[in-house]
Amino acid sequence: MAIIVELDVMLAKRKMKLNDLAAAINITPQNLSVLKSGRAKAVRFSTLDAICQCLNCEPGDILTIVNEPQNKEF
Amino acid sequence: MLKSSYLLIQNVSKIIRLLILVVAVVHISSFLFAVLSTEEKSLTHQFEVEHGETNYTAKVEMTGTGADLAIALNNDGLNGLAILGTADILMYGLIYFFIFQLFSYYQQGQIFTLANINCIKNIGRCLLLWVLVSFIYPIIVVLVIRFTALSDTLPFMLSITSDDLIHLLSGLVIYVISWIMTEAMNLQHEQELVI
Repeated sequence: MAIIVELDVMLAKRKMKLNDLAAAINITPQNLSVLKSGRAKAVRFSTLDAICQCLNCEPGDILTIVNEPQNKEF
Repeated sequence: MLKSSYLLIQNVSKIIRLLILVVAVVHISSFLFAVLSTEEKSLTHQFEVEHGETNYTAKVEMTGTGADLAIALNNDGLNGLAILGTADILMYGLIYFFIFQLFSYYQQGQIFTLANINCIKNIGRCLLLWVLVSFIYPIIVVLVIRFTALSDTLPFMLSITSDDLIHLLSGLVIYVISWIMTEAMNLQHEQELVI
């Protein structure tokens, strides 16, 4: 199981640019890019709250769980 | 880290660097002065500067096994302080260099970096090496002098002094601190990925 960030999908739906979102929620575009590319280790509730407020969506619209096929070795 | 903490670290580091420089220069120059002064071959050399009511004193002294061997070397017409003190002053020089380098990094605002951790590790290594050197060096000195036939009466001396134990303990503590700093660096790297 893995959590993936679908920020780019929500940004496309809202026709918004990454830099505009970064400016709106007052974080650096570099940090937002780290989040968008899935390199982030954790997301603060305050950041998630700000993103959801700005994009008018739910946390579940940005974060999704993907079931990965498990390789069982016996 | 807070900006005010960074500023405080940078300012204090600047003062510490200056102090290290002064201490290192006084220490090394007083040693060289003591070694090069040919008037008397004593184990202690005191270097005093008087300025008005202020009095500065720098002292170079051989103690412990070093002192016994230095007396024996002096009795054989060799300069005990120069022969035995060189190892000590080299180790001091290395430690001063690494502490100076460490605080240079702190002054530049680099707190949790690999370069810093390597500096701390090197200080620990120097202290541990010092214990080994102070144990082996007198034996090597006596062996070399006996082989070169400068003296046949020099005794072999083996001992561990309280200074050696302090160096061993400090070296180990500093080495462990370097491991803790490595963990701190990993935590900081992880913290950078928390958005």
